[in-house]
Amino acid sequence: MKITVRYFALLREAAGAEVESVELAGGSPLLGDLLGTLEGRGDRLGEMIRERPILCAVNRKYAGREAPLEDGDEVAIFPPVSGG
Amino acid sequence: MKIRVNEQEVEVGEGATVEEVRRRVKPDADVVIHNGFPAPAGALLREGDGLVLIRRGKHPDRQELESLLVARHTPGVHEKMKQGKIGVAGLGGLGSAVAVALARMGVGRLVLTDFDVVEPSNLNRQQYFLEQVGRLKTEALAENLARINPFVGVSLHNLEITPQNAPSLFAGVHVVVEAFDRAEAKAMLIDTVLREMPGVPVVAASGLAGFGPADGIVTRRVADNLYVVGDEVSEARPGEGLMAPRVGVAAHHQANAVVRLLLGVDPLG
Repeated sequence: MKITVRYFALLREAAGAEVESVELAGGSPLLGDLLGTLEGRGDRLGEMIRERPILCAVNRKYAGREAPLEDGDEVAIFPPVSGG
Repeated sequence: MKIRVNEQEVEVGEGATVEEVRRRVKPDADVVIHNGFPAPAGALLREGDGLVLIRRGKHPDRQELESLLVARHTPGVHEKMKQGKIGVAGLGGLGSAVAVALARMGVGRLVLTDFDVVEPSNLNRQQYFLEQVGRLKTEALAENLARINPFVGVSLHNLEITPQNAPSLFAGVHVVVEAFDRAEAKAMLIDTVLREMPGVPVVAASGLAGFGPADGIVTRRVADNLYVVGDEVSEARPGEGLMAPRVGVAAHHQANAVVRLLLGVDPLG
């Protein structure tokens, strides 16, 4: 199934794009599976998703790694940065 | 004819002077401001004029202060602010400035949480004073807010916020303001509120360090009920410090988003 991934902030810079279409294998993947796929790529984006705190939304609803994904879903990934 | 004295409507006769009204309404007042300027006693009043009568050194009572404080607000705003209860998580550069702005707006109740004490380096951007160095931020800020508006209710929690205690600390608030410093703490609070407190919006901040353009700081909706203020990328780190102007811009974006949420309008317009 195809998931549209929207990157914010430093992740957008690392991905070199704001939006990417990611193909996920398997019958009923979770948000955690998508993140695992991205982490496993071994590039800077994957490293950042693995090491930084991130917040995710599926179709604009806040979601945790246990959230189920469906074909055509849009996942947003936002990495907050320090400072206050 | 009708004039406003300390923001209350008062009926006075044609040709009444400032001095006559002072004697009648507040004879102990020794500061008299007529339409925004110090007034000579014999000044004539006209329909619709505004008069502020103050006794130097004496605090106005609750109703009077409220009227005076909100005299510049858009009509109808104050009643909604008064009903508002807002949680502020972290009382550093963001949280202390958000709390000051909301107190000046007359927000009814603020739930203020922090476990730090005021340090000298905080004074470059945070709403504390030199003599408060070493004091708990919760108590020092409450003291400062009371000097602005003693009628704002404050609940102080001098502790570290965790996923376990956040829902009960912020029970009943209309909005939670995320004003932490560390990215991990920001993510933890946002995650906890959005999961455990359905319907409560979070106004967070991310990307406000340094002296980049002020206009780079904007308010975004990242997910339903999650608003994030900042330029997204300017991280606090060696070489990119946290300074009053940009932190203040971000804090006031947050405060304005809170005001808009309390008024029932979309923070993004």
